[in-house]
Amino acid sequence: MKKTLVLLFTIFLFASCSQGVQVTFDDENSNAIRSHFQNYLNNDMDGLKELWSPDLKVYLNSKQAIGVEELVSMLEAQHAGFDPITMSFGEEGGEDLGVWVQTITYPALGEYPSATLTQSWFDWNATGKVTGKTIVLPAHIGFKWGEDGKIIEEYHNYDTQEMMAELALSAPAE
Amino acid sequence: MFVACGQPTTESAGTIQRTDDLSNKIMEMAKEYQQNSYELTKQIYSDTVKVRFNLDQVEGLENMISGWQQEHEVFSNISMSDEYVHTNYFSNGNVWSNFWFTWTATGNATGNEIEIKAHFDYKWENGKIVEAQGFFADNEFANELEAATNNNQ
Repeated sequence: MKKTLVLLFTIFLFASCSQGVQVTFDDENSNAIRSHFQNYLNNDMDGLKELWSPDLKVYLNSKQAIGVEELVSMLEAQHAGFDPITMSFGEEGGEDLGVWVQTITYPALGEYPSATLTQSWFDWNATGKVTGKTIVLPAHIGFKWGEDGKIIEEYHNYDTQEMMAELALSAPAE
Repeated sequence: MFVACGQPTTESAGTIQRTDDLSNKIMEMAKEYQQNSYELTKQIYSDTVKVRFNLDQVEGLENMISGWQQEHEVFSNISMSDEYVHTNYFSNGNVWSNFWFTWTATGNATGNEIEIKAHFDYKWENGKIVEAQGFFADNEFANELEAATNNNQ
């Protein structure tokens, strides 16, 4: 009887837990990403590098990855071409959160090991130094964490047409 | 048991599910879109849905489907792969599905094959999608639409 109760409890526990994986806002990873974005806004590349694995792979709207140095060049170009750069998130008339950040730790599933990902959503707002035009770019970036607490992969989804057009104007003529 | 399951605490924002009814519907509607047929889509999206494709806003179910039908005129072999979806059930009652996929198609005007990595979010209210937002690189898609427009002039 006791074994049966233990078995039933175990089944119930598993069934209850399998109803969903936790999403968190105020965890260590989410807060690290908030600070990471602040480093970006402050044009603090050394601060950004502290959270990146040296082997970071960044997928910019693509299945082909770039590395840390290429990403740094891109972010420096953004700060050279735009001022100010801000990030915003919120419904009209509501509170501006800056960035929506949430973290999920996926349990191991079949051949796939457990993985922690932090997802972010925001509008990237930037005023071009050449044209004075302000661009609004809705963006989604996902960050995958390594075992050492560093970011090992980033997945970027956004449309860069307006940003690239402005940067082309500010690039030195060849 | 609540502790073991990580039930809502001050740090918990909710849970995600990957094989729930809403996530399954997102996958089914993705299949419909590829087949250019929208039976389930018409049942699931609110008539007054607001959809943003990057910055472009489309209002209403009819306009949304009309846009997708136009995509099937401009492109052939539209297909979606690498699909992953989960649904967030937030502690405050909000429900959002997050969907990642790769969109591929061949432009009829140029013959170019386009591949776009995309992310979409869907807000649910009372079993209906009332809001959606897509994030993706739009340049190749826009170029193909322009080529199709020029061919028709």
